[in-house]
Amino acid sequence: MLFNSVTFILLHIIVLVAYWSAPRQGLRRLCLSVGSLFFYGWYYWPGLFILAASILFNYVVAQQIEKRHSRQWLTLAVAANLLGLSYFKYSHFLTEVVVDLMHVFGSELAVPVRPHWLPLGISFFTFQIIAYLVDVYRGKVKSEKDFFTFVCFVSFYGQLVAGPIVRSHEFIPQLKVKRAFSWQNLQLGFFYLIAGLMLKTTVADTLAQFVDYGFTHIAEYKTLMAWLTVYAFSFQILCDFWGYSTIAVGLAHMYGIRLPINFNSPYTASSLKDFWRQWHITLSSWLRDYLYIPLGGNRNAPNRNLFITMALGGLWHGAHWKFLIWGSLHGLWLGLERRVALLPGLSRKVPRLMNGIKAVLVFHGVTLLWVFFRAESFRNAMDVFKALLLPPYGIDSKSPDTLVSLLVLFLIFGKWLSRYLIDDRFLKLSLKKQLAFSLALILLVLAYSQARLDFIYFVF
Amino acid sequence: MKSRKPVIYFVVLLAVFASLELAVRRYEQSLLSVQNKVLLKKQMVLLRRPTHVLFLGTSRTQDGVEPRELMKSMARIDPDAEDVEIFNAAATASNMDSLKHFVENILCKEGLKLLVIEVSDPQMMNGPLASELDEASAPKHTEAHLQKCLRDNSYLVRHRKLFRLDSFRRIPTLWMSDFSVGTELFRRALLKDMVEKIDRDALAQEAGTGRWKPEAIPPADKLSELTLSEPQIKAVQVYTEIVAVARRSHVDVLFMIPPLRGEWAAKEFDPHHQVFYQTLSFETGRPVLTTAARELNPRFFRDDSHLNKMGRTLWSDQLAGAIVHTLQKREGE
Repeated sequence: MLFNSVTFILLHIIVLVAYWSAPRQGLRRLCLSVGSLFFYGWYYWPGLFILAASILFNYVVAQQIEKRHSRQWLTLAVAANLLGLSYFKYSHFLTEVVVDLMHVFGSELAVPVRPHWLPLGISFFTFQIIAYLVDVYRGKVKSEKDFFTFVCFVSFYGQLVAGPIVRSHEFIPQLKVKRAFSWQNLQLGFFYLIAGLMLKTTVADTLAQFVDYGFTHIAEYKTLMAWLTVYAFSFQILCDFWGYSTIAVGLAHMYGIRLPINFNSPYTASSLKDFWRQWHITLSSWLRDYLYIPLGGNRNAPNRNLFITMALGGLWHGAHWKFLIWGSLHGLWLGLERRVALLPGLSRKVPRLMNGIKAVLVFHGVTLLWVFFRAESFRNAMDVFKALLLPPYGIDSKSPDTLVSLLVLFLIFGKWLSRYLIDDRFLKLSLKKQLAFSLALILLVLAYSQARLDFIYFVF
Repeated sequence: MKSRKPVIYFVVLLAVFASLELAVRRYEQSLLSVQNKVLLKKQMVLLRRPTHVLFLGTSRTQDGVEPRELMKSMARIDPDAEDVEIFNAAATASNMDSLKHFVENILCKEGLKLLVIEVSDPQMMNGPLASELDEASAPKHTEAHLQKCLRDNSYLVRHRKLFRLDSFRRIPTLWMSDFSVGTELFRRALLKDMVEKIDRDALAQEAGTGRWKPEAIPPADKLSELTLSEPQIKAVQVYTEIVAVARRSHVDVLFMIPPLRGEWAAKEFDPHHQVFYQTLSFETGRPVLTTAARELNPRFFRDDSHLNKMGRTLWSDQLAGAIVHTLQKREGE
C-alpha cells in the first residue's frame, strides 16, 4: 500500500502501538515481521509468496554458507537470487531482444506472451539479500539464526519496496537490542514522515502533472517549456525518491531504528562522481562494494569497470534499452571525468566559483540524461532532445508561471529542508521552530496532496 | 530527567489542529468561497453594495468587460444611468452548473435589474476544474472509505483546499468586494495590462468602423430541422430555466457572445451554432448580442478569444447602448 494513503497511516499506527506494547524484544520482532508481511501482501497478495520463498531460501542458505564457508554455496545462492530477479524483471525484455535479433536475421520467432508482473520491491530486497550473503561469506557478519529477525531485515515495511538498501550489519543489531519507547524518536520519525510526504505529495506529484503532459506533448513545446519540463522531471524524481526514503527513515525512527540517509543535496554536486555519492547513496555504495570492486575496482581497467557497473546499475532501474543507455552514458561520463579535469588551473585559483560553475554543468548534464530515464521510448527521448537543443528556439505563449514558481520555491525550501533531514538535527531546533516547520509541512501536505500517484521507484 | 519537549510538541500540534478544525467549522460558509473562483465571485456580489447589472460568463467575459468604462459610457448616453452599479462576476472556467448555481443564489441581491450572460462553447463545454475534483480521483475500496470517513468527520480535511496559496490570494479580494468592479485578469496579463496605455484616438477610429456594435441575432420564427448537440440542448434548457427564475425576481436577462477572432469566430458561422443561438433566443424570448459576423482588428485581442485592455475598453463602450436600452425598456414596463 502507498505511504501517502490513509490506510497506510492507520495500519502503521496499529503496528507501532503493538510493537511498543510488546514486553519482550522477540515479540516485538514478531509484531514487526507480521506487520511488514501484511503491508506487503495488502498491496498485491501474490507477491507475498515470492517474498516468503526468498526469505526462507536465503535464511537457510546463509547458514550453510557460514557453516561450510563454501564459495560454491555463495555462487549458487547469488545466482538463484539473480535468476529470480531476472525471471520477473528481465525475461520479458530479453525475450523481446531475442525476437528482434531473430527478426534482423530474417527469422520469425513466435514466443508465447507471459503476463508481465513484477513483485513489488524485488530489486531492492534481492540486492539487500545478496549483500548479506556476500558479507556472511566474507565473515563480515554472522548468519542470522533468529528467523523473525531475518524476516524483519528483509521485509521491514518502511524500506522494503523502494529502499534505502540497508546492510545487515547496520540493521540486524538494532533489532536485537531492547529499547525503551522514546518520545524523541517518535518526534523525529514524525518530522521525517511529514517532510517525506510533503516532498512526495506536494512537490513530486504536482511536478508530475507538468512532466507527464510535457513528455507526451513535447511537439507542441518551444525551447523554454521543453527545458522547464526536463527541469521539472529532475526535481520530480528527486522529490519522489527522496520523499520515499525520508518516509522510510522516519518510520524506522519511530521503532528506534536508524536507517542510512539516501540523499544529500545531489544537485549541488560539482562532479558526477560526487553526484553518485549524494544520490541514492545506498545503491551507489552497493554497486561499488559488490560490483565495481569485485570487477577489479581502481586496480584493473577502472574505466571498463565503471562502465559495466553503471550500465548494469542502469538496467537495475528497469528492463528497457532506455535505462541501459542512461546507465551507460553515466558510466562513460564517469570514465571521462577520471581522465579530464575541467580547467584545473582556474579551479585552484577560484575554487568556489569553479565549483559553482561545475555544479551547474553537472546538474544540466544529469538533467539531460534523465530524458532517457523518463521518455516513453527512444523516439520520444529524441523528440525531447530536439525540442531542447535544436533550432528554431523560442519562448512559448503558454504561461509557465506555476511551474517556475514551484521550482523556485522548491530550490529555496528544499535546500533548507535537506539541512534538517540529516541525523537528529531537527531535534536540536527550538520548540517554536520545530512547531512552525512541522505545521507548515502538514498544511502543505493537507492542502496539496494529490493522493493518487505511485512512487516512481516502486516499479524498480 | 528526560526532555519533555517532544511531548509538548505533540500536544501543541494537536491543539493547533483542533483549533483550526473548530475555526473552519465556525466560518465554513465564508471560507468555502475562497476555495473556488465562482463561489468567490458569488460571495463578492452578496457582500458588496447594491448592484444593478451583473455580467456572468467565463474568462472571455471576465477579460472582456470593464465595468468602469461601461458605466461612464452609459452615463454619456443616458444621464439617468449615472448611478447604475455594474459588477463583472464572470470567472475563469465557469460552466453551466456553476452558472445556474450562481444565478439562483444572487437573485436576492438588492437592486439587481439585469443579468448579461455569456453564451459560448467554453461556457457550455467546461466541466469542473481538475483542481476542484478531489473526491473523483480517490482510489476505491478501503482507502476510499477511509478518505470519505475523514472528509465526513473533519472539516479541515473536507476544506483542505483552503490552505492553498490560491485561496489565501482570494481573501483580500473578498475584503475588497465593495470597491471591486469584478474584473480579475489573468496574473500573467496583469503587469502588461497595468502599463499598457489606452490610445483613445485609435479607439475612436475603431469604434467608427461600426464593426464592434453588437447586434441581436434574430430569433427563429420556425425552428430549424438541424439538430442541436447534447451540450447545446442542455445549455438551452439551463438558460431557459435561468431566464424563468430571473423573471420571477423581476430581473431581466441579455445574452452576449463576446468578440472573437480567427477560428473561434469562424465557428460562429457553423449552421449548428446559428441554429443554437436562434433557438436560444426563441425559447427564452431574450436577445443574443454578437459581433461575430465581422472581421475584428487583432490589435484589440490578447488571443483569438480574449480581449486585451484596449479591446475591453472598446467593447465595454460599445455594449453601453444595448444595456441602457434594455434598462430603459424594463423601467418602461
